[in-house]
Amino acid sequence: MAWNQVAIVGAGLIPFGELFDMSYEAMIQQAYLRAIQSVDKGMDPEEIEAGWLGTCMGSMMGLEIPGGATVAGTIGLVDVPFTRIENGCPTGGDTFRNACLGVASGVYRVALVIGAEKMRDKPAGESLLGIAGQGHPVFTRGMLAPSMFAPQAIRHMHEFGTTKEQMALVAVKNHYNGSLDPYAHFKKPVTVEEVLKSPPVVYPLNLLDCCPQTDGAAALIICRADLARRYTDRPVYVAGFGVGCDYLYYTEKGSLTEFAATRRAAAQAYRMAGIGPEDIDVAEVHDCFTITEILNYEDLGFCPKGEGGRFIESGRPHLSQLGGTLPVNPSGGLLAKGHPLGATGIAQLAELYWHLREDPDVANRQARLNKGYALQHNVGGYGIAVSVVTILTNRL
Amino acid sequence: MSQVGLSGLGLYVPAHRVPVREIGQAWGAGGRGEKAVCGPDEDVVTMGVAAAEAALAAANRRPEEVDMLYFCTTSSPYVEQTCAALVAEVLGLRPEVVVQDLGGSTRCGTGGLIACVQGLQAGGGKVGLVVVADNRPAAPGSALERTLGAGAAALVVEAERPAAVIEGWACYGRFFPDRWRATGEAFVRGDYDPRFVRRHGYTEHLARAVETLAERVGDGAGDFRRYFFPLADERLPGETAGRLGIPRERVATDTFPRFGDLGSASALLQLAFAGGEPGDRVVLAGYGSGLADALALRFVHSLPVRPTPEGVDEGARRLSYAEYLRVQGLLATEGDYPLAVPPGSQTFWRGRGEILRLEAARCDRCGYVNFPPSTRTICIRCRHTGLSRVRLARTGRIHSFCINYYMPPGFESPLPYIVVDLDGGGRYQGMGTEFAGVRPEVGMPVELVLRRISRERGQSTYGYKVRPRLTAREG
Repeated sequence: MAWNQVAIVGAGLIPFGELFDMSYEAMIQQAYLRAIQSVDKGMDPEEIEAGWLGTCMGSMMGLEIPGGATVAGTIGLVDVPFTRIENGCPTGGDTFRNACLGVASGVYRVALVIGAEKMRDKPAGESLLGIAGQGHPVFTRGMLAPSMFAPQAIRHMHEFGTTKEQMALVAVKNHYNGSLDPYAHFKKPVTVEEVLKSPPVVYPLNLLDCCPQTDGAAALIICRADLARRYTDRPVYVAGFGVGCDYLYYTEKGSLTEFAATRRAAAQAYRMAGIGPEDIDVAEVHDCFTITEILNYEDLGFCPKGEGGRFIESGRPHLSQLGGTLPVNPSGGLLAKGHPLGATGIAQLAELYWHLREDPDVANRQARLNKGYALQHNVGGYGIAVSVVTILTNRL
Repeated sequence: MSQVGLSGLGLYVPAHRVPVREIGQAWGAGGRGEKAVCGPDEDVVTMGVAAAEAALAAANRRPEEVDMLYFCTTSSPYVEQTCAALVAEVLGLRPEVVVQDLGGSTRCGTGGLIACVQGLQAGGGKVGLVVVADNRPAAPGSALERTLGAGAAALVVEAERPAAVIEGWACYGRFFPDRWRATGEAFVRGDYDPRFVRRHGYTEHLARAVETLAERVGDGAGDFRRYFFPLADERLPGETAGRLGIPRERVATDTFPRFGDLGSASALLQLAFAGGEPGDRVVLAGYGSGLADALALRFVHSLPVRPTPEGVDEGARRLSYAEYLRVQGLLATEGDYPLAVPPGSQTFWRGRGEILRLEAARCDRCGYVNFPPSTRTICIRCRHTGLSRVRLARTGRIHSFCINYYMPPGFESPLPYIVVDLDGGGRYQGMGTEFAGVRPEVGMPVELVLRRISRERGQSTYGYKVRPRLTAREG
């Protein structure tokens, strides 16, 4: 039996990219407007009773410790309780989960969930190195963001024979999907050869194995499930969610060929939704790097352990219109759409909301629906120690 | 005098070598031989630690047994701050041990040895440790650029079971400015008139010290089997031998063409490479600024030396002149990338056990080794609160790695970052060093070495890096 106590009734996002002319607040305002305007039967902003804001690294742009109040007033909701959630790269997903808990508690009937990140007010190279300044001053000195994934690639290649070509196929799939998504940062297909020839960033990852540094914002409107029909005849319900943790340091992690946090989060979400991986029609997973998506297939149960490289080769995670049976990242994923940290999870949920309702927003990449379940996934945070999985459904 | 002597010798020569001709060519000259230079993450502290650990292993002595430490260098990173206490901290000496920082001139190596012997004879303890390291900077284009090298040696000194007894010593000194480096100056200066300096500085004072020594131990100056003189240039040994009337071939010289002028560590490294047979009597000498020391050693049995001198060239890499200038820090950059927290701050102090000595916390209940211990006060596996301090192993194999291509100044670039499966269990993670030309591989044997990881606001910060394991040195 799925949880289904909360429904999504509105979704909106701004096109992701290098948005030098948009401030953090302006991005949030535009995403909020699109979300509220998307509600089928209309919604008066006065009906919003609480807000949750997901921003991971607000202080990267000089805004020290952004809080919920940073945005409440700027969107005309200064009367509303507003909280900021931060949990690494899964900030967006966890912000959504916390908002759902707030609505499910019965205290708030309707809530606004916003994810936003302004990454390009710093040079792209500095964001990459900014991660190197975190963690332990001696033991993790020298690590860049991809250094938290590249050793997993080396180990997966060593234990299962995964190849750089197989990793490149993930980038090819997602950059093609991004070319169909008007919100994507990159809208140009790439070839395997282009990926393999792109400059090395952190061996064995080349530039096109990595997601870009992106600005973006996304917003969702949620309400108690029994009130959903007031706003739409096609609500999408939250069937389940989970948050998994892991140790931060390589000295404490177990196997480097998986992200234990993802496994834990997925187990919780599947149990709460009362389903298994075979019931998922479409998924938006965390492909910050190509190798991450390969591990995600395994950690989320889409294929057996070690088979991730063969899974992408099989074509199964491609778009339905290309013969895929479990489209993964129809939006273009983090690789092509971008990864504005706090916005990513919210944007993934917006994409899945459109697929489950068969909205025109995704007509050119619609996933074929069988069971009516979709899965959203993030993994990351310092040390890649936290994961969020959310399962949505279009049926009660 | 009581039978105080040397029971172990540790040596360290950096892997980076510069052919002298390579330097000469940049200035329109030639050159012979090579010199050893510190890598970008090395200094007298890291070299001294490596030599000291090797000496203790050679002498089969534990750090807790050391009663006094003399750290001797003319090229400390600091005008005011101790290196001796930092070396003591890394080795794990008892806090009540007397530690001294000695310098002043390249004579300080033998000066420290004499002070240690005096300290032991005065009842200051049973085991002494003398650590000598130099890394003297030379101005580009100068004559000294072709000779000043880097290296370290350490001696365990005791009365209980010396391999080479110190039969006596003598000093002879009158102030004579031959080489110097003033506070705030970047490079060693000197040799205003090389012939004058050689004859009336080096040779005169060193010879008088040897003659005085010979009288004291009841011999002629020429009666020793071998003479270990500091090798400040290639002509000096010959001139001094002539002045003393000893056969030239008894003066050991082979470290100079291989490693250059190793300053205060020079004669000790010669001793390490030459060694001695039981019964041999040798002279160990030091010199700088007109001060000369000469010690007489008699070998009881062969002196344990670690690592084996034959393996000292394993992993050695020749640098171009441009690379040499970069690793010497002579090419201006924007400065090291800042540490995550400022050096000397609470994080470093609380974490000094794990950062400097690789201490971990083993659970008394389940045996799991928690690391780092300052942030793990509950066993992360079983939640037990009873934890005991242990040290991580220093050798292991690569479990996984990556190579970072875009690193700012202060890092090697490309930079390997390594996850190590430690021998005996557990893991370590950290920056790689000396991987140039070596592709890391899963399963490759590696070892953990102390290196400088940052210099910020004048303060050097040290930590363990991962280096390919050099097995030829282990003998």
